[in-house]
Parts: sequence; structure tokens; C-alpha cells
Amino acid sequence: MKKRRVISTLLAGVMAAALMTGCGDAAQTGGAGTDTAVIKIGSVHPLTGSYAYEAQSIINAQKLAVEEINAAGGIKSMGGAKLELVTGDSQASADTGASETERLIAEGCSIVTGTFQSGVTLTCMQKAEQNEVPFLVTVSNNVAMFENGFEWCFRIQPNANVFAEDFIQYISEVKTDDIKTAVLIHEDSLTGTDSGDIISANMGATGIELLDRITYSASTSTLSTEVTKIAELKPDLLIAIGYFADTSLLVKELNERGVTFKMVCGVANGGISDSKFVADFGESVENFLDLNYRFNPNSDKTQSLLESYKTKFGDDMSVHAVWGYESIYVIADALERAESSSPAALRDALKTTNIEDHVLAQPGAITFDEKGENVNAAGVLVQIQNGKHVVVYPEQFAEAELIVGK
Amino acid sequence: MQTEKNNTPNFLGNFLKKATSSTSNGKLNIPQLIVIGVACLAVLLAPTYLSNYRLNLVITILTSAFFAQCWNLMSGYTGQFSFGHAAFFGLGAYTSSILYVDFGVNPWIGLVCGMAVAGIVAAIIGYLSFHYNLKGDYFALATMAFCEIFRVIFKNTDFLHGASGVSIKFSKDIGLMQFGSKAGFMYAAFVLLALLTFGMYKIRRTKMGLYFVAIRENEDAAKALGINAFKYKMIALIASAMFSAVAGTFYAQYYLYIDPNICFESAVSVSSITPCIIGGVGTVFGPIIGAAILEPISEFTNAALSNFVGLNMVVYGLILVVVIMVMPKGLIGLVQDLKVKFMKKKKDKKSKSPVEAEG
Amino acid sequence: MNAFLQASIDGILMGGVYALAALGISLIFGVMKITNFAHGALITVGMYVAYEVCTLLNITPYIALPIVMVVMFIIGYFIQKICLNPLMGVAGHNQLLLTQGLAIILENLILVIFSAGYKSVSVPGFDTAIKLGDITINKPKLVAFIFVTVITIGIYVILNKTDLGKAIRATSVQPEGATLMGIVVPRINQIAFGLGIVCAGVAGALLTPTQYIFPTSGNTYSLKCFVIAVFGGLGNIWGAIVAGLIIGAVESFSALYLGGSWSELVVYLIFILTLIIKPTGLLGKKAR
Repeated sequence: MKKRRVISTLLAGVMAAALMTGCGDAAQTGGAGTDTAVIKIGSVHPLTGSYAYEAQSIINAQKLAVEEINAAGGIKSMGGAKLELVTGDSQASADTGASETERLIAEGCSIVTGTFQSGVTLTCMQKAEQNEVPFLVTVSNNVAMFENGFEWCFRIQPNANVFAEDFIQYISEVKTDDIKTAVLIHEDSLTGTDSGDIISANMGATGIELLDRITYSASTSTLSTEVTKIAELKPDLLIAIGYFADTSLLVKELNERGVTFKMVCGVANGGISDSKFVADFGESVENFLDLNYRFNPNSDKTQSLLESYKTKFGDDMSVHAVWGYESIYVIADALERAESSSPAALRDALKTTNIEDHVLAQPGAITFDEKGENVNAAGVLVQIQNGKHVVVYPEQFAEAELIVGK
Repeated sequence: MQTEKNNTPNFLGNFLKKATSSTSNGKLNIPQLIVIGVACLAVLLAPTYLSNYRLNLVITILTSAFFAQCWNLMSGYTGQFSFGHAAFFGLGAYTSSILYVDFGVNPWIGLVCGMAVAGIVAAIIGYLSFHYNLKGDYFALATMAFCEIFRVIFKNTDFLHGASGVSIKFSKDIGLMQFGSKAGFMYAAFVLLALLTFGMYKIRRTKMGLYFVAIRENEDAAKALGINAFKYKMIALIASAMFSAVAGTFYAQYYLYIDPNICFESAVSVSSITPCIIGGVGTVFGPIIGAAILEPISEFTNAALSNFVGLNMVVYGLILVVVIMVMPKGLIGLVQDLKVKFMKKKKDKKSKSPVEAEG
Repeated sequence: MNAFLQASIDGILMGGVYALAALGISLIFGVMKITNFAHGALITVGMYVAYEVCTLLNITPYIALPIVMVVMFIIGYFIQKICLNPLMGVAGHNQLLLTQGLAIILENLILVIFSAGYKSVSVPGFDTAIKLGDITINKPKLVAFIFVTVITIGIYVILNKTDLGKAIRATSVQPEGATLMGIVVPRINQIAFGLGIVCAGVAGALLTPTQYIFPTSGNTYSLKCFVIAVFGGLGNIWGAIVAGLIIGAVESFSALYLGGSWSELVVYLIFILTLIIKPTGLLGKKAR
């Protein structure tokens, strides 16, 4: 009994402490002071939960960019002010994401970035909008979220529409005549459904017949029935939209059955574009294609980025991470021009962003339209060749020739 | 214990004693009213001394207390443990949002429609469960499964916006239930919680409230006394579902975006239960005390441990586990237990020699 | 027809693994009347233990199984001893929420220790399937199925042919009576919980060659296991096995004919129908 009382007293202490820190008024008021030597950038990502791996890679890249900028003398127009990344964990939940956004804003962040999941991103954007603090999307491709007339939100990455349209266009340009039929398989959350809808509606434009559209839940434990269906239909082209774990499951089961295709192409596929995926599946995923966002392989800047990421974190940089990295540079550029860390000045500066020198595989500069979307955002076709990801189309970014038909 | 005299006249001690006592007639005594009054005043004046961010925390506490109070009405009072209150929450959120976004129906009207939809669904679930006499863990699992069914349906039906969810345009119009500022939302949440809690307080002293408790304590005995257990369980469930729908609509209007996972995830159901367990299941103020403790803790662990990925949730989980182990009857139960023990000790002290009492 | 046959085989093989995990839930509920919401997280723990042992000793998960079993038993034994035994007398919802809290702790502890990256275990020679005409059989799932059969028989023998089993069964029927007969109920509870967790852990370990391991990978199985345990009759071993196979097959067929997104719905509908029509489950005693 005595022991129990000690525990309860301790617990009461912990609670009291939590209450005090929780309820005591925030010393730092919203928004940032104008001439601070440190500029805080918020970053809300699902550091715990199912997408912790992807989230961590984005944060790593953001940290890397912050360090680079600080090492190069910080924001020069503001007397060499240093950047500081303040992270928040959305726990893959929308309301936690929203309250973390509020917290970061209260802690004085001039801008918040995030969040990898469209649903969470949308609630965070609503909060940023209400607090009149800019929000820069790192990764989230849902189209509808920029149709709300938001004035404080920006996105660099291509949205699901761009992915799907680029996919239709590129595939019709690169396909060979013997590719006549296709099956589309995608996971049934926001990400998969968005692109899946547009692709299945526009498949006619490619001249390839869509035999079936198969959906599954991304958290599934088996895809054998889906693979059975695909094996029965024997399409020439398999289009796969999914995350890392489910795409791996799909490929594993296809391999076991020995089901092959003339062409396999993902759309923003979390598996095919991942280097661990290639390392694990080796020869069997050779020549797989993915239409995805990517860093520009033909720029020296990218090569040194890839190297420094690997030396610092001991892991290959994921495609998602690039958007974390570039987001910090876009913010730094805006700060440089705004000469102030006030959210309003930063927002106005972001609106006139025009960055030619970036690491993204997109034609032209990073600039935002009135909705806040990157005008020149585009996808590229990436192919796995000799165990490496190479960009094969469009030619502007191509590192190697496209290989069709094994 | 009310009648026991205190040897030393100690105002504070008396005050505390009275404030933490549960009176036999269910009425609040003066010290308790003072505590409640001070708490209400602190909340009502919050916009004058708290920043916007802290107000957000207050709103979270109030809404989570409200949702927990809904669960308490059903599961705390009648003892039918639901693990699927997210279903009613989600139906409320979806009904008002879809009506507003697709059909231009004012959210206030949507709120009422949401209550109706949740009430009807609750009636169906309740009929199936209670008619076939599902109890305990079986009832909990059944409600959980119903909730999952709604998640799958909403995710796969285009008419209900499918996986894309519904996003509501931000405006500052109170007519559109958006209250303009944080303070507005806070007052709205406060009023909702106050009304429901007042109702919960009043109902305990009505016949119906007594029937609820009788069913919780021993359903068979209650039936034997002629109480229509089925009817009263249905009433509790439907009322609870309708208020949960209000919580859902309120959530949608505050966060302005909902999707099937946000609404129907089992984590949502859990969030309606934990404040009650921490504060005290089946008590009027348990959910409020629980929410006032839990929300700051989770906010605090998030902020303090944001650089140690995962540790924030480990700490949160640990606190939850330890709390349940140390005070299975919740904070209110613990305080009452301790008091009984304290009184006993005092009595013992009086009767025994001072030397012995030290041990 | 081929697709039908293929779907049946895939479903039943997968169902075997579900059955084993559900057996753990059923056992724990049968003895202690605890609904263990940490089961999914413990399946994940089993995966990580198997992964660690495999990479450390450079062996396959199948050879690592005994180690996994021992580790999982110890984990289960102490969870019951430290967290659940003190709560055996109090209202049921506390245990429910406590296991939910444990799930949060375990899942995130894994994240802290192992970080979020996807991990995988490969078994040499298992990257192709067995082919019988047009029908293919997945090797890891087939092997898993065999192990499930052996372990189920093992648990059956423990419960029915040993003194320990008698004590466990006595405790499940009447804890007070068992105490009077000189059985140390808390210790039996610890052993029973340990055994239940061994089922979860072994199921996890057997899944490692077929899927990626990450901190939330066991969660998918959680609710499904409840469905199976209830469908088979809580506390009923053979019920859990039969129900596991049926649910596995149903899931497979509904994915084939309705599409994967809707297959969950069918499983939950079966669940609710069971609860309403025959809450004691498929092989349980007749309804009240």
C-alpha cells in the first residue's frame, strides 16, 4: 500500500508539472520578432505511426539544408540570421497535426512545413490560414486542398493531377505498339484514389485498353487474390500506385508466381522509387518504371546533396526527402528577399518566388501561381536500370535511354 | 462521514473535505459550487489572459471533455461499455459537412440533421445489440465493428466523398458556425459542455437516472424490480449518440477537414473513453477532470520530447497505464478511497495508543 | 475456376496464421476474461524479435522460433504479473484500456529502439512459389501453416494432457474454486497470458518472410484476430482454428469478387452476425 501511495504522489507531481507547463501562458507570443538572430521554421510530419520512415527522411533533409544555409552565413540580408528547424509530430493524426501547427506558430515559427499525408496537411493548412502564418507543403499531392482559396499556403511538389496527366502523356509517347492492354492497381486512400480516378478516365488517350481497375487497402496483409486477378488478365502494362510496404507485397507475390509484364509503371510509387526496394528485389524489378517527382540528376548540386545526405545519415536519400530539402531553400530565398521574418512579409516574398537554381527535375523555375501551386511542377519517368534509378524521360532530364520490353 | 467533527478548527481542511466528498443526496455542497464557479470563471476569462495557442489547448480540453461526457452518459451511467463512439461522432461530422458543402445547407441545420442521423443509427445498433442481449466485452467489440463498417462504407462511396474527405471553406460567419475567433469557439464549446454536464447532473436525481445506475450495478436485479432495461439502455445510447454527433459537427467546423480515417478510426473512440477512465467513469465531473489532465500531458510530452521520436507516445502510454493501475476508479474514486482511509486512520488513532499508531 | 481454387488456397494458408494469432486472444480471454488490445503490437514485437535473432545468428525465422517463443513467453508472463494481475478484481473496462495503453507503449518503444525503417527477412529458396499446374502455393505461407498446425496441437496437449493444463482450465472455469484447490491463480494467469503472447509472437515471426516489418505492421491483424476469436467462440481453441481458416478464405473470396477495399466489410458483417445470432461462436456451446 505504501508503495502505491509513493507512486500516486509521484504521479500527481508529474501531472502538476505537466499542468503548469501546459497552462502557464506562453512567454513567446504568436508570430516572430522582427530582428531576431534566429529564424524558426516549423516542420510537422508523422514521426510516429505508419509513415515514420518517410517522415524521418524528410526531416533529415530539412536539417541538412538548414545546416548548409547556416554554414554558408545564414540569411545575409538579415545580418546573417541563422535558421532553426523546430519539429512537431503529427502522429499521423489530423487533429494532432493541427495542434502541433498551433504549437509551432506559438513558439515563434515564421512558417510551417509539412506533412506527408494529405488529410493531415489540409487541417494544418486551415490552422496556418487562420493564424495568418504561411504554410509550405513538403509532400502531399491531393488536388482539392489548393482549391479552397487559401492565401497563406504554397506547394512545390506536383499534385495528383499533374502526375496523372504527365503519366498519360509520357506513356502515350514512349509506349511501343505491342503494349495494348493495361491493369491499374492502387491503394484506396486519398493518394491512390486521386491519381487512379484521373488515369482510369483518361486511359483512352494513350490507345491502351484498361482491362481492370483493382483497389486494395494500403494496410493489407496479403495481396494474393489481387495478384491472381492480374495473372488471369495477363495485361501488357501494369500500373501500380501505392506506398512502400504494399507495393513490396505486390511485387513479392508477383515474383513468386512468376507473373511478368512488358512494362510495369508506377505513379508516384513509394516502392519503385525507393532505393531499399531495388536493393531488396534486385534483378526482378529491373526496368520497372515510375512516374514520380525527382531531383534533377543532371545537376552538380544534386550529386553533392546525395553524397552529403548519405555520409550524414548513412542511408540513401529518398525521393520524398528532396522536397524537404528544397522547401528550406525556397524559404531561405524568400527570407533573403523579405529581409524580415514576419509571417506576412514572408508570405508576400513567397508569392514572388522565382528560383532558377534548384535540384528539382522540372522544366523552368520554381514560381507559385495565385493558388499557391508551383507552376512548373512536373513528373519524370524513372527507370530501374542495373539496380539504379535513372531518369529516362523527358529527354531534358534523361540520364539513360528508356528500355521497353525485357 | 459528514457528521464527523474535526478536532482542530481548520477552514481549509474543512473546505477540502467538503469539496471532495460525495454527498448522499447527490446535491453539490457550497465548497464544491465554489470550486466549479472558479473553474468556470477561469475558462470564461481565458481569452483575456491566454494566447491564441493556449486557447487552442483550452478548446481541445473542452471538446474532448464534451465527447467524453457523451460516452459517459451511455457507458458510464448504464455500464454498457462502447468502443465505437467514433461512429456517431463521424456521422455527425459527415452529415453537417456534406449537407453544407454539397447542398448549401446551413451547418446549424446540419447539426440537427446529424443528430437525427446518429440517433437513428444508434437506435438500429442499440436494437440489434440489446435485443440480442450483448453485454460487456461482446458489446464493446460489436460497437467497434459497427464503427469499422462505417469507415469502409465512407471510404468507398463516391457520393460520400470517398477517401478524399470533405473540406469546408474557412469563413468568419457565426451563422455558418465558425465563430470567427478562437475565443468564439471556446465559448461555444464551453456552453455545450456546461449544458450537457448540467443535464448529467440533473438526470442523476430523476427516476431515469436511478434506473440507469440500477442497470449498471445489476441488470438482472433491475429487471426483476420491473425496470425496462432495454428501454432505458436505448434511451441512453440514442441520447449519447446524438450528443456525440454534435461533437462531430463541432470538430468538422473547427478543423474544417474530415475524412473517413479522421472520423471513424478506433483512436477516436478511445479518445472518448480515456478522459472518463482517468477522471472517474460514471461520475458527473470525471470526464472534465480527466480531459483537463490528459490533454495538457499529451501537449506537454509532444512539445518536450519532439526531438526524441516515439518517446512522447511511450511516456503518454506509460502515464495511461500507471494511472489505470494506481487508480482503477479514476481520480475521483482515488480521492474518495484515500479519504475513507484517512478517516479510518484518524478513528484508529483515537482508539489506539499513540505509540502504536505510528507504525 | 482456377481463380476460385487459387483464392481458396491463398485464403486458407493466410487463415492459418490468423488462426494462431487469434488462438492467443481466445486463450487469454478464456482464462482471464481479458480482451487484449495489445495483441497486434505483440505480433509486431514477435516480428522484431525474429528479425533480430535472424540477423544476429544468420539463421531463418523457422530456426529462430524457439528463441522467439521463450522471449515472448517472458514478455507475456511479466505483463500479466506487473500490469494485469493487480487489476484482476476491478471493472473490465480498465483492463481493456490498460492493454490499449500497453499497445501504445510497445509500438512506440519499437520505434525508439529500431527506428522507423522497413526491415525484411529473406529465406533462401523461398522467393519462388510451388507450381501445381496453374495453381501456385506460396512457400512461406505453406511452412507457416505447418508450424501453426504443430503449435496448435502442442497447445492442445498442454491444456488437455498436463497438470498445468488442468490448472489453467480449472482457473478459466472457476478462479475461486481453483484457489480453494490449492492452485496459485495469479501464477496460472501469468502462464496463460504468456502462452497467449507466444501465439501472437510466433504468428508474427512466421509472417516475417512474407512481409515488411515496421513498428505498426502488426496492427492490421489486431481487429481481424478479435473477429476470428469471437467467431470461433472466445476460449475455444478449435473454434479459433476453424474460424481463422474460414475468415481467411472469406477475405480472399471477397477480394476476388468484390474488390480488396470492400473485403474488410464482409469480415465485420460476419462478426456482427455472429455476435447477434450465436455469441458463443461457431463451435461454442449453444446460445444462451
